[in-house]
Amino acid sequence: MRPPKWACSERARGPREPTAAGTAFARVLLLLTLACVGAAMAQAGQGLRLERAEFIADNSPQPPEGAAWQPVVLPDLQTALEPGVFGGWYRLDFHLDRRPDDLQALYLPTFAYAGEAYVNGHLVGRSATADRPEFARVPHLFTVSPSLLQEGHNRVALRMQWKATFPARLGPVYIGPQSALAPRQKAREWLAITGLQLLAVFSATLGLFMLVLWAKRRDETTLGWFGVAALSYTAYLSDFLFIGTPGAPGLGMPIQAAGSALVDVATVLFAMRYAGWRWPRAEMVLWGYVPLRLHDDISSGLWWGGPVMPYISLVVVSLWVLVFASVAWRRRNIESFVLLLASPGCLITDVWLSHFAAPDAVNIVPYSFLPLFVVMGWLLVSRFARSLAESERLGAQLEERVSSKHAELEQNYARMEQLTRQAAVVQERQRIMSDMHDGIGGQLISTLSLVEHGEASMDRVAAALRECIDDLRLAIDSLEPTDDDLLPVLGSLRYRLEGRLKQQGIALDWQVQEVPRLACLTPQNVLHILRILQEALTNVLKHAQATRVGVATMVDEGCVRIRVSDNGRGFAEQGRGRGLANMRDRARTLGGKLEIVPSAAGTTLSLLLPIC
Amino acid sequence: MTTVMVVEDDPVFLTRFCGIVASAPELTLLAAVGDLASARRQLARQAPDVLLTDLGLPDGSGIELIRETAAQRPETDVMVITVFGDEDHVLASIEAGATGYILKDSLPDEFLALITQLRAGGSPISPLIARQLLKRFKGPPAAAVHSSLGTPEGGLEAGLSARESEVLALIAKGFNFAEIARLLTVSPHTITAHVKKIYQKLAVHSRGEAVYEATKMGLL
Repeated sequence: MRPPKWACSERARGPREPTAAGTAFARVLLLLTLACVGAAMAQAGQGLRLERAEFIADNSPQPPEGAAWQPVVLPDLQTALEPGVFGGWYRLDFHLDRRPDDLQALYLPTFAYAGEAYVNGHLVGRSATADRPEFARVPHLFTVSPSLLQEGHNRVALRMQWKATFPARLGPVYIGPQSALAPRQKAREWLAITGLQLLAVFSATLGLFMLVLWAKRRDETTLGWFGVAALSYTAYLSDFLFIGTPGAPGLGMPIQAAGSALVDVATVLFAMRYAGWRWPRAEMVLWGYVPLRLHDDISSGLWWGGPVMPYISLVVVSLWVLVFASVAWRRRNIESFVLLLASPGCLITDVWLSHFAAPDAVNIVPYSFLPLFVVMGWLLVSRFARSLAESERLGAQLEERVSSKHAELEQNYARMEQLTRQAAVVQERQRIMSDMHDGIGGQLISTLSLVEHGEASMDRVAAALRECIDDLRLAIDSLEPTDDDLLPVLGSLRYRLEGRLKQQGIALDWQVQEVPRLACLTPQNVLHILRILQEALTNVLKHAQATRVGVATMVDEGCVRIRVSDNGRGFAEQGRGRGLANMRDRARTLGGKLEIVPSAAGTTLSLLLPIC
Repeated sequence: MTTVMVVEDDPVFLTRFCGIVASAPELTLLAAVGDLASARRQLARQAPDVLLTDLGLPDGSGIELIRETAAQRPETDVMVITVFGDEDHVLASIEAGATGYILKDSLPDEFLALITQLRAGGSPISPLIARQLLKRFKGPPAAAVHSSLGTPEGGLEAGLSARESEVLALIAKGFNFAEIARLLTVSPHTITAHVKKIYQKLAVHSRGEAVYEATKMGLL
């Protein structure tokens, strides 16, 4: 921080005290301002700069005559107060060769506080009150009528009042044509106040934006530290926001000091996170800087550590420069070089302002953060934009890959479906072939031989042929999709065979009930079931001499039972050996069981199918 | 007296059917023809009470004949003659307007019983056909007709009532009309009437479907 030219307590007064010029931006701004001023001065050709004055501590409303005035050189700072005295007087004498014709002005770059300005005994203007230390930065310009001046000796008298904590200050005094001095005053006002107000608003916006971003992306800690730094910076500049607004509250010294210290700490932490470093112990020590600065501020630097504080501050502002330098060394990319280039502004302005600048130079340290913040913001936003673009690219890539995979899968699926269909067709063909071979084919051949040998009656041939047709119809029925429901299968069996039962005078007692769905009802298995039951009913027709046959379904011990019972002569004599073996084979293929219970009252045949 | 006309290109079966009709005192054979053109001529002259037709005719499909007859002679009951009673043929015939079907190898008694049943207002139906009908009415075309054409009346007309679905489901499980009547405690006559109604609905339903298809193809 800025050491002594304004005495040590002075540094603690305002925001960060004048320190140095540094960054290219601040330098350019300064040069521009000076150029404007220089041009104005040259144009007017006139204007006196008064640096020699006399001072007396005196509370009287008129400059005391004949008292012990002490010579001073401006800029001057008055801290001490004699008991009962609340102010003092400065007087500056100057010589004019002739009385000017045009409007004149008294320009006071630094004039604090509660001052009154007199030219040759006439009051020309007052300055602001002593309540607000930042008013010390307001440059004053008072117009002076040419009639107040005279050829030869003239005198400017300045009365000031102050408090112990806000010492009086007076910078060099200018008197000259108003047209020449007014632009200078305007330029200084812009640089010392308006510019800082704009900066405060800018950094507040930037900081809030970054913190909102950080809240959405907690992992990006650089966003958070940058937000903290920018908002702290706003706090540090906060009192400038309301300067010139009478009665507006300031946030107060401690908050400004804390803001100023926080900017430094948060910027160092930003630099470390940017570098990818995380050193908890070192960071704890770093945080100690904030209470230290606060203490220094409250005690106005008047403690044992006061003299070293400026150097501690220099160390802290050097830290981030070092970190950025290290990053630039390692990464060697444009981003890190630009960051390094923008980072030492504070250090340079500090040093420059402390050792090389004119004593009443405007404090441009606050401006030194602007390039750093702009670069940090640009960096984070561009990184954000990059990652957004990257994620969009990845998203598009992913979508493309998903759609190509999808197409591939669809192709595979279609191929598989085709294979499955082909396999199913082959299987079905084999099934139908084997059924025709075992069933209708053989029957037709044996019927043919009956006819050829003339052994059979027409009725027998007709019956054999009808059996063939029934076989064929059952085979066709078995092709129908079943939806795993057994009852329609039995229904179609009834539909096909009931006519023949009726013809033989056998009554059919249909007692089927809902049964659980059977997943095993493939066309092949349906045909097995139909064939078993067809055989059973055919046996009843041909051999049992029954008058009644019952068909029933029920659930029995985890199986579906299909029961065919007749009131005929019993099974022992009716069976055609081969037929029964076939039925058992088919039942086994189905994973089921065939039960035959003959009795005197008839035969009961049951087909048990597992519920799967 | 019920007049019957037979359209069958196989002379053996034509003779057989004519014989069965002639043997029944309550039936009169109006005409027996072997191709579509003769059938059309005969129908233009005089329509029978019952038309029996084969599907595969030498000069066209029996389906066309069924459709024309159903449209021009609504008082005529059409029965289709089929070898296997398989669903494709039967459903296509019913959609065209047939109210029943008869197996080619039916015994004379069965044959006459079917015609009697048909004239009495009933339609024969097998379990498999019943199940196909159930599926057909639940299937998407009805919904498509509903939404795309915005004719709710057509959709309702084509949809089955709860009792009709019940009857179809029982037929699909193999119960005959008498048993179903007992189960539902109604008369067998009611059941046959239900089935005939279902057949008519299928014809309407299929017209809706045709309209839907035609709309899709931009014909309407």
